[in-house]
Amino acid sequence: MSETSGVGVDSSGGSARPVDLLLQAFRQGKPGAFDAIVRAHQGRVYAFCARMLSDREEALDIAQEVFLSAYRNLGGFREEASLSTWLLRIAANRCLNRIRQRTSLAAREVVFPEPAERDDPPFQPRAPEEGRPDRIAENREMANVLEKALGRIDPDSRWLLLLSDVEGFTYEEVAAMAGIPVGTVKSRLHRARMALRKILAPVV
Amino acid sequence: MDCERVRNLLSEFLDGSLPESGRSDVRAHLRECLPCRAVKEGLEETLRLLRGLPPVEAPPELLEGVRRRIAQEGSPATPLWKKLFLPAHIKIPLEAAAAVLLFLLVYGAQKEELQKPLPPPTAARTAAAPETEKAKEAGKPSEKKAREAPAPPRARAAKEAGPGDRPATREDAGTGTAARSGQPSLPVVPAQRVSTAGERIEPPPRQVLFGRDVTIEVDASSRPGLEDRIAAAALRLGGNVRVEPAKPGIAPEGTADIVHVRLPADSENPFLAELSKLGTLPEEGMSGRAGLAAPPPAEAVAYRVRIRVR
Repeated sequence: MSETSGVGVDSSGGSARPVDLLLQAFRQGKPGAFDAIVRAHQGRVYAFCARMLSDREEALDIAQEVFLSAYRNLGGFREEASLSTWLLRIAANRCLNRIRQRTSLAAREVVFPEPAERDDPPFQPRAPEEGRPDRIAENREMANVLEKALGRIDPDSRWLLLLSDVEGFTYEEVAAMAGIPVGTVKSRLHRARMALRKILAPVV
Repeated sequence: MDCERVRNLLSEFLDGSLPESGRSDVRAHLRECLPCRAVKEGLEETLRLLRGLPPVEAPPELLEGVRRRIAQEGSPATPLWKKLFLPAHIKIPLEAAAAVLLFLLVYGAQKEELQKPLPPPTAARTAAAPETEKAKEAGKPSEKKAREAPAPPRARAAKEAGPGDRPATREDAGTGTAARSGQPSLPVVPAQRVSTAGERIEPPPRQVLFGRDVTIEVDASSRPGLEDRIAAAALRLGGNVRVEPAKPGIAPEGTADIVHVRLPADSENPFLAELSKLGTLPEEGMSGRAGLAAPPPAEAVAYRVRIRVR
């Protein structure tokens, strides 16, 4: 799978602002341009949705909706933010809507099924002495543990955590995407990190 | 700087967004406070794990699904529906506001219509009226003018409305039925109406059916059995009687009971004569008429006889 960023630099106006070449190609009506956009961003969008929803099937559905919405609305996209930021903002809104649609009970069941109901073994954090955290953090099992722990964070804070600490957006960018003040982002993010730290404490 | 303050600043400290003065304070505290240093290290590790989450490969169905959905939609790059219809969050309040406005307009128009003064009389009537007055002044009213002038308003309105416009009234229906069946018609209480010419139609003089209110005064010694004596007198005259015990606190003071009597219309005077034999009929106790809840038919007369003990 080729995941080209498709980002160049706008040299015509002397500006350093990157120009999304794939977006340009799509606007010029070049065949396959939208496929290329999807390929370039699908991993990031899908990962975000999967971590927000803690459900791969739902994540696939929402990610498709995100690209469908982008296809409909790319004509009106004004490039005030990068295409990836725009797509993640759509994804965040869609995920939050989907989470709100679930009843709180159903949401908990999806994220944390009762031990008797679920197929996989219950979450048992490994004791610190079983291995150094820096050794296990890189492996898939640790990623799964972390993603499950993320699922226990309040969705309204979870997406800030994902945007800031996983996707690497600054406080200001997250505040712009969420439409809330930077101070609120900082405080909510700090609380979410501390909550996550508490959940992971037995492991890390 | 205390521990709580330091812990609240740890995120910003680790992100590097804390101002230099704050950074040095936090650093100094962490050098001395072991528990806060442990919290900082734990938070640091959590952030390291989050930032090190491995990339996720999207399943191939994602792109296929997007292609399929786009194909199902056709070419919605310039969606027509979006141009034709506003989004629901705008459309619904707009529609609600339009509905309220429409209601207010209709309501206001109807209210204005009701409050509008009645139109002046028709040209024919306005022309006729001065002529009538002139004729009256002259003391020689012509027969035709005389017929027009004193006509009761209802008849006048009926005349103006014309035979085609005149709605069939309950009274008409009642008299028609009565004429056909030969039975007495029910009493009619006509509602206030307005003719098609916009003129108010006054109700005709009402044939009011009342009874009489009579008070009979007796000594305490004559009181026992008085109802029976009144009833006997009424029955002798072909009437019927119902005795109603006086309601404490409602009936006038001294009134004991009320006797309701119905008599044939021609027995009115004999009954009063009988009553005057049984007791005194004070002048103030003889009302001309009394409205009754159930007025008698035309051929009967009703009395409400109040018994008062002196």
